[in-house]
Amino acid sequence: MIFTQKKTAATRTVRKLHSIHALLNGRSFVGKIEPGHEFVYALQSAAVVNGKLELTGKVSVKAASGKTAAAENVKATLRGVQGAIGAAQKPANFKLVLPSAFAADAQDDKPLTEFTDSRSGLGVIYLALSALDGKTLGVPFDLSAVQLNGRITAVDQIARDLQWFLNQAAAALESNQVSVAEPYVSELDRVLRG
Amino acid sequence: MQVKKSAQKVPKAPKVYDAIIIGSGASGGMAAKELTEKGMTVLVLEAGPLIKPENFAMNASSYDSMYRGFGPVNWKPHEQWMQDTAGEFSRDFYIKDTEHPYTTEAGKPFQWVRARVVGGKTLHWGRLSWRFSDLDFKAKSFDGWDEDWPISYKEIEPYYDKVEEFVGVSGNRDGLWYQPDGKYQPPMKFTCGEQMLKKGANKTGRAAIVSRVAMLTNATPLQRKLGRGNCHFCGSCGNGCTVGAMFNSLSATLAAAALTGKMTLRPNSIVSHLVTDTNTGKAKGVAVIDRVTHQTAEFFGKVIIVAGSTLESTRLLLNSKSRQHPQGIGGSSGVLGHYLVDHFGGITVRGAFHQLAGRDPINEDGKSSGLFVPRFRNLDKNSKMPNFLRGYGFECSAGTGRGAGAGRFEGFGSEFKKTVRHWYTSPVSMTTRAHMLSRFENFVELDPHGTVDAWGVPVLKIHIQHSDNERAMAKDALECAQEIMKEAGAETISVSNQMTVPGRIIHELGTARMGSDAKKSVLNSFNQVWDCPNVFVTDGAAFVGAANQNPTITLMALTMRACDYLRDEMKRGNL
Repeated sequence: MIFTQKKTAATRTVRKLHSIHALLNGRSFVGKIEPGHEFVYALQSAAVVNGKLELTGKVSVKAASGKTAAAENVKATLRGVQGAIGAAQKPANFKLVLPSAFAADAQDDKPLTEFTDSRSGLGVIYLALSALDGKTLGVPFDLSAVQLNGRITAVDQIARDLQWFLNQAAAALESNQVSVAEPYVSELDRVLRG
Repeated sequence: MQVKKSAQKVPKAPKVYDAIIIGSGASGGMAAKELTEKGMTVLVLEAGPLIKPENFAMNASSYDSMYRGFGPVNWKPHEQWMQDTAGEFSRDFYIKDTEHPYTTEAGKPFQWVRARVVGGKTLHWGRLSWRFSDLDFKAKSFDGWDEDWPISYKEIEPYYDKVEEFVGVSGNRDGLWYQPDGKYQPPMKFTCGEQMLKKGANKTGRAAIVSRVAMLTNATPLQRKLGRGNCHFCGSCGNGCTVGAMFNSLSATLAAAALTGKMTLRPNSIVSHLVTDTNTGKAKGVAVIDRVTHQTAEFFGKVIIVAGSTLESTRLLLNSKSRQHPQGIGGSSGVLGHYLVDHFGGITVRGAFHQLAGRDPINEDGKSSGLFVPRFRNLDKNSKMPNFLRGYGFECSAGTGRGAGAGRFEGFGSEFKKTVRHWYTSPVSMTTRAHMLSRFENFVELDPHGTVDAWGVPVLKIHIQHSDNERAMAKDALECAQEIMKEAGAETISVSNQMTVPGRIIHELGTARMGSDAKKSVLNSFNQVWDCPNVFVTDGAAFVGAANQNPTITLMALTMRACDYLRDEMKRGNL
């Protein structure tokens, strides 16, 4: 079988890691970098920067040996979202009535599409992480442009609350309604600061 | 004069295949069979691994698993959350969503079910095999919406015949002009409940016919030569069919291609983009990333067949930008990525036949065929609907164990078990498969913010939602299903009245449509890219419209037809 390897691939010594999958657990995205590294991105704050959602937090990487390394003040800018097959639930203790970027559901007698608009959820957020140093973090990859695939599913109440605020904020920012997004991002920030 | 041989090594020229086929599913497999049987050398590139049929879990029993068929706790929401039909024993047939992102508009989800494995989605498909008719190919001529296909039923009919004979489809010839008959193996029989439902449908003036499924009931000598046998009704089709009764490309088309000795199959080969000749603008090969090692490579071919499944194929075309193809291959018309459709379902009525409750259970739940109520709306003046275009059909089943979930009963202990056993033999269900209108504003593009997959390949952003036409159709379908249930004498137990999110029916189609005008389509009537004549797109991306019938048999027929054309064009020196 022919396998013509490109010169560029042969000369690259450190493989670029394109993405890390992680699950939102409380206020942290928890995942793995193979082989055998535990990855945690602990979220600390949220803001709208240049019309985009920007999260800030601490990245920790724990090797199989138990050795842990960390990077502080890591920024994560929202690239895009994947809608969920499921609805996000408004936090029970959130009483404010804010404008929403989602279209109102039709009020006629025809069937609606499941999990859309105001009945939608958010399944994944894709975040561009600021450049990380793989060597410092003890992983054998180039981490200069890693995308965090942040899966959000209902594992706990904090994740559920974050899902709702993120869903609202992402919808507003996608349609360039920064003023609509800001109150939701403020709530996100409040929850992340604990 | 003696000429001395140079001591310097002359680099070996890379092999140029007659054709490179991207994808090994329904379309890619058919292309491999057709082209190798015409004597061409073919390289089939499949993004996923090879799972041999002997490793399928057809005979696995949920009771033997510590997870009882449900898989490890949270496996699905954490790893394969969009892979709706994946089960504990079939999950290797599906991609992991952790590695294969795509983005959607906020509030408008799309459920993208994908199979990156040799055989593609044919390893677990539903197998329903309905032809389209001119009601579908020439739909614009009937109602004025959108565009007609550039082909007529007559043009594709001989290919339907050949595909059905090779694939093996069981069914009846029912004589309905709008649901054309084909070349069938003996049909599977109705259950008692299906007989009763058929009478109910007929009372309301609607046809009700045996489902036509790509399952062998009377294998031909050629099918037996390929190692395929008749269905034994084990009911485990979704876990992979080790006997090859269920058509899948691994046991049928790829097996036939392998017999020719002309096919090279390369699993774990993710094609990132097509490579074009900077002088001619024609495709000269493909760039590949090894799924496991992440190493890159290039392969070369005279012709490229893009058959990676509807949206993967379009993603590949969009990712194939070059000086000559600044919007990607096939992008000059501005419609590449547009007119995405799926069928919609979700409008479902479940009921029970009291007459069938309490009888002794019989072994009838392994039959993969059910009853189908073909489209009955907007066929002619008499059936024209004032509030929506096109139409829908009902997929129905009835019989022992078919959705007789104990969950609907209250109670516990022996009385509860008695209740569940009593109703176990009685269930009946009808679910809608409906047409979604092709609209320009439902489209895919490369994610504008640079989201990539685990191999660094740019991913799609999907924009799609149903329109009021679909909603009006859904309302009508719900009313008609209840009417048929009532006429059949069934008690309606539950009604589902939400339409499925786009993608959930796994019939995503369009985005690289064929047409008769290069300014309004990506492909000509032979699936050939207008802008790049040695590239053919043969899967569901080529569809102009969805109709309401399952699309696989049609895309296989289109593939076969494209391969005939390709061979002729090669002979004429046009490729």
